[in-house]
Amino acid sequence: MTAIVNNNGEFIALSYLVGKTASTETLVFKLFTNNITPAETDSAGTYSVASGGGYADKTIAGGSWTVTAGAPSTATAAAQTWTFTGALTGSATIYGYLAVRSGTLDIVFAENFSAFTPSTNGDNLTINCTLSAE
Amino acid sequence: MRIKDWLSKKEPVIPGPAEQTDSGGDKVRPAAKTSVVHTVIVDRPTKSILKGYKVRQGMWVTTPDGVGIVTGLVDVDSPEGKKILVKVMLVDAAGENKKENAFAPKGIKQASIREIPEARRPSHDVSHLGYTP
Repeated sequence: MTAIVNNNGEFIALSYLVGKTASTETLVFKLFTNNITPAETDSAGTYSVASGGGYADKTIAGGSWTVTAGAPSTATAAAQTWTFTGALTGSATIYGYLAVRSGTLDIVFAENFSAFTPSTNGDNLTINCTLSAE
Repeated sequence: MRIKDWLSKKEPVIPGPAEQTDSGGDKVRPAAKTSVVHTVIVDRPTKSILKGYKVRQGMWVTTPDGVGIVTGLVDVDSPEGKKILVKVMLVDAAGENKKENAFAPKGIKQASIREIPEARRPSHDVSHLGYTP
């Protein structure tokens, strides 16, 4: 039950901060189906992304985030809910999610959580994500 | 970026019944399962206490029980007083989760690249993270 900013995500964040990267990209949330714990060395390819059962990635537009200064300062995304139409391909189980950049598709952060196996039309999963820095 | 602490709260999955019938005996749609995940903080802890142990969340390490990934710290009581142990998710040959154990910091060390399961072995340069070939 851990969430980490992968090494690549740290690199991206710092590059944005100092203006090294000219343009930012929105984040895309993906659910993954391999039973792994995120590691700092992971790339997006480490994760098997869900498919079937009505699954689709979620693009989180910049305007969907609420950024608040404080101790710590936070960035909170609007709740993201996946509603499934049935089982995933291969009746796969969801073990967590990862966030990638929408254009380059490289990984920023990832987290695993309690396993969830959609099976019935209407099964749903909601993620409330808050990033913080202090 | 210094990131302070993390907390992740999960609610249990509530499975719906496999099949239901109403009073007239007709089949009705089973209740949907719902899972809500609250990700409060997403980070890699870099607290001074972790730095003291030279481990960080998400780091590949070797333990007396095999290779794994650091997931956090845990306080335990011992006859000598409070102790801090490092929680490690041990992985199998495919790099998938096997079992989470806690180890004394002196019992673990950073894994080398060849000790990381092949399926999870980074293809990019990670020498700057302290991983040696």
